[in-house]
Amino acid sequence: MGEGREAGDDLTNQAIDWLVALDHGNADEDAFQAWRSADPRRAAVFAQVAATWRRTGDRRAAALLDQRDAVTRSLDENEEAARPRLISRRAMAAGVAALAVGAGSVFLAWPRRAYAETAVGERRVVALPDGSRAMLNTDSRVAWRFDDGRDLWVERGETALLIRAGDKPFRVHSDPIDARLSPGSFNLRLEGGGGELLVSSGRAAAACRGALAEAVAADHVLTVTAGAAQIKRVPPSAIAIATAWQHGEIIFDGMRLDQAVAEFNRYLPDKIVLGDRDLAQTRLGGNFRIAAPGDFLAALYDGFGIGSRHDGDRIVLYRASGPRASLNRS
Amino acid sequence: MAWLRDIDIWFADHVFVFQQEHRRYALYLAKQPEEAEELVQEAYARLFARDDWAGIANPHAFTMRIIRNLAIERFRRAEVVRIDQSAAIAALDVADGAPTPDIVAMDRSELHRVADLMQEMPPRMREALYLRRIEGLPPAQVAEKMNISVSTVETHIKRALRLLVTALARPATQGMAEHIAQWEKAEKLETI
Repeated sequence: MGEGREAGDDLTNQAIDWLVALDHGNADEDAFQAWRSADPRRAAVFAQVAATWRRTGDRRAAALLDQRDAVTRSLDENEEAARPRLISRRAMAAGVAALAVGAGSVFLAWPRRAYAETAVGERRVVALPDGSRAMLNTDSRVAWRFDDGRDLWVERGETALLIRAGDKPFRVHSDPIDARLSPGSFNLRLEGGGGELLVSSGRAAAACRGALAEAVAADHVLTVTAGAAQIKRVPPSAIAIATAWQHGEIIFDGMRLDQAVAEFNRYLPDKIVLGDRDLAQTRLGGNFRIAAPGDFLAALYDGFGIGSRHDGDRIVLYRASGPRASLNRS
Repeated sequence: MAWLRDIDIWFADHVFVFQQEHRRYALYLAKQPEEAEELVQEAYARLFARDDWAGIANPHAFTMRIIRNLAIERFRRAEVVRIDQSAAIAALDVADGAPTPDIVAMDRSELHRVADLMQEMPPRMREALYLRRIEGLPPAQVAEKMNISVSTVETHIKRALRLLVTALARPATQGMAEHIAQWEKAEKLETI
């Protein structure tokens, strides 16, 4: 298997060159046969390219294309009329979410802040009046006011922000961190009096409890704990872990079991607790669906022989004598 | 067309039609796209190393099983035990006893993707591919009709095929991919 991905792409290009040259009668067939028979990898990649090639000649695809050409032509004629309608429909859909949560307070004179919140285990996207989006993680609350600026308060929990360009600066406020955000993608997580602002794209000018503003560039994270602020670069793998919740996943990367459980517990109404103290040392890796804690518990059992039982509103982990998955040792 | 062998056609109709499933499954087992792609490519290569391919009752299930076995081999060599993978592999159950019914060579969603991609191609590239593949004109006539050289036709068609191969290997929008795309789309809308 040693071949890397570049080698794979390169092989695909070679196969494409061969196939099209063969099709155009420009190839030395013997040389081609020698190339193909030298390695089953080549034969397999060539066959994949040939399969795609065959599809382009599929009569049903041709029929589909002809049909669409007719539709496109008639659409083009109505383009002026059709375009704006499409956009406004999309804008409307985006606005509905904001209205649903914001309508109650929009018409009140005071306070003029609209807000949205999530329960434990819930996740939701809020479309903000300027087209920016906020995605709230479990047990979170944000408020916003957009009348004479663009201000958003993260009051609790964790929120991902997708900021679009606008005339006015976008400001995010929270207890530990205040920041001005450029267009881009951000993640702000509050935890135990501290906070973490991750910049995936764009940049932020952040102030920590009134201190001077510091610039946070893309692929950097600002961490505030007990009043101390630190900015550091984060590798893509760490960004993937920090933002996994946005698509309903939780990633453990060699984390201790007590920390992993604390992380999972953010999403669970019934919390997991360690029955045996020594279980905490177990280190684990893996991706899990937030919505499927049962899989996590089953995997703990299969992988580490750690059992679980419900005890009132808690889930207690204990060292079981169950079988370790045979695959873990070889 | 001596260059298109029986095994290539068998592969196109009975294995490659399930490429999305193979990729999804490999990704589910390996978690990393590069490793998943490597699993799929190695599995396909193993098929081409066999003499008895024609006797495989259910080529799709057979391929899935190769992918799983390759994943297990890798898993055993890996240093960090990923418990979710062990669970996933243990839980796999591909019924490979029953042969697949004769499936249509390309399913409808795949058909739409091919048509979409062809439609979105740059016009000259699209024209060359259309004349050669759909109208079935010989390369020399395509060149004449487009008023370009045969080697330029060849270049257009190579690029077109590259575009199709790359795009079709990407996962169809589903589940998580769809979700990510929504964010990305929102992001793109903003920069316009």
